[in-house]
Amino acid sequence: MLRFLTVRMSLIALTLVTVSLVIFIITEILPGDAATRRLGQFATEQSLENLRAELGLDRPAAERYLRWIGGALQGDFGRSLVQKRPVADIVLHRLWPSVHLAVFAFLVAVPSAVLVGIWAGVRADSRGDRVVSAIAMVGISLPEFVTGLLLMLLFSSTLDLLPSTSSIPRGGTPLTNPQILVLPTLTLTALLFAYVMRMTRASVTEVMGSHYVRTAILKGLPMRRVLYRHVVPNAMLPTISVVAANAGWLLGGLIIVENVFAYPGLGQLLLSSILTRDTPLLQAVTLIVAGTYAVGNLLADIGYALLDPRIRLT
Amino acid sequence: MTDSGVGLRRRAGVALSASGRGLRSFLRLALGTTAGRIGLPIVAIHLFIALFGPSLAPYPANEFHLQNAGEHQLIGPSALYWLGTDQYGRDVFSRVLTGAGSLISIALAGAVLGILLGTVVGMGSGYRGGRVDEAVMRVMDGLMAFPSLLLALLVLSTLGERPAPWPWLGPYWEPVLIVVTVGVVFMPSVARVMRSVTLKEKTLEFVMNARLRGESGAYIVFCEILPNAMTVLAVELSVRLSYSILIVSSLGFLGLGVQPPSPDWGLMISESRQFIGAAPWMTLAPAGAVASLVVGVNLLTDGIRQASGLPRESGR
Repeated sequence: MLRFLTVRMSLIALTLVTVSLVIFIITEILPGDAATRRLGQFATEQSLENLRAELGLDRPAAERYLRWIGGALQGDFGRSLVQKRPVADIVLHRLWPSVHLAVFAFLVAVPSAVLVGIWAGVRADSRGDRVVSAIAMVGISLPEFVTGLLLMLLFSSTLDLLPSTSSIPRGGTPLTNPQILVLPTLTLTALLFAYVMRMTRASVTEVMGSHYVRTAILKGLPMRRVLYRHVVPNAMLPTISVVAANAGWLLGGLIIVENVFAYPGLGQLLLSSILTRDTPLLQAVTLIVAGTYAVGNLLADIGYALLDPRIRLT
Repeated sequence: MTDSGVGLRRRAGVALSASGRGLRSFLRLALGTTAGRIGLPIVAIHLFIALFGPSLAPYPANEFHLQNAGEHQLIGPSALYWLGTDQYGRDVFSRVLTGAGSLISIALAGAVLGILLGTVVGMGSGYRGGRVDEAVMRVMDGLMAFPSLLLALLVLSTLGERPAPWPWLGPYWEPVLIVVTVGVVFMPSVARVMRSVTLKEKTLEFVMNARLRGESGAYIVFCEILPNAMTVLAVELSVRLSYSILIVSSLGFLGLGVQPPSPDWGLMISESRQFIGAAPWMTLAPAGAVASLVVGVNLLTDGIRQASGLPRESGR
């Protein structure tokens, strides 16, 4: 197990290095000269030189990368080009609202989806299963912005129960204004629930058709025991990897949901950093989101290994 | 998005057993399943609208109906404007019909490009093996470490800085950028699937035969191995198509896709947000259009998957 963990940990380090390289190449090298982009095509050669020196663009790309990633490791992501503040401060300020949203959506969606998935998987192709599966099919098909606006239309425009925008008042936190969290959380929940439920249902159905479950039933074990001892543990394996993959994906889905509800989190920050071409900010946010995604996948692998002894040996 | 190694291997294994069937026979098989029977007509209607929508539309998509001092703005569905009008007095029904073509063609082109790139990279890398394969797959892993929408935003923001390389491309530059973005985003996951198929196949006798005959690597990959991967490709294409629609419409919604005043569904939904209380039809019409399209494609995918005997996907 220790060896497995070491291998996984070094793999995750490798992935994070690749991720940071991809971000650096896409944001710094591919777009061309940042100085020309900022000053426009008609800037004098002298002012371009000055800006390049100021931004450190006169150094070789490898050195710039190492300086950036070295700073990032120490929590220094440089200064925002637009807000003229340290990027780390801005990001930290926006990180917590997103974490709140993601955690709430996860806590609501995953347990309920697993329960419903097991319920539907055990009675595959019954009427109840078909209804639930059809709902889940619609759930995975609706883009986040469609779900979000439909919920907004229902709960804030028509019923007038909840606010349609989720901006946080100055000095407040998401928890002091819980009403603003409801619609964004519900939007994320809808999609996450549908995914996890479909996955759980599929693996429960598969396990239910296996020989060992048939044996367990035929040897007269009570159905409850068959479910707890044989079906659920085996069906949970593939579900865990999907759940963890979705934990990272949830951070990507936040981009849409936060922009639908004007919720001040990382996703909104990401979009505004793209629109204002604030490269240091964009790099920091993408690094955090992609890093979380990678770590989520690592946790999935470890969870998988804890539950499945066969994986540990390889 | 992610796929467990077990799932991939299983997929590849099944692909071997169901070899050499074309997409058409899949559609016929898919029609044998409930999901396929519901999904195919929905997709067919959308394709019809994509092709003939602009000529079916009662008004030009960008025509302002501003007569009588704004009387035609934000009015609800009526005999004159079936799905109401927007803030500029444009007919929402005409805009929805006209917008289908660009979304579907961009999404389809993006999915196809992703499949092409992924197939070439995955099969080439898998067949070649060794260090090259190792290096290529590390890069693909790096790309897959991004949530797809995030990667799309990153790639698009970079590409968007560049003007069209040739003047004649100018009018098509925006859609081309989106297609390329989607292609790049899909490449790594398709490459992984196609690589695992190739690894399985390349140890088989017919490949050995071809190699002993002195065939080139490219011939073996594309003429010997690829035909056996058609099942996997068909499923992959339909899965990618539904993600592609989601990504393209999301980019439109975020304002990074096709620019106004195009009747893009994502863009229309984004613009409708301000008027959601006063003019809900502005939201509902394009939202229903996107939703039904993705539901249709997903149902068809389920149908094709059931018909081909491939297991369900294990994630987004």
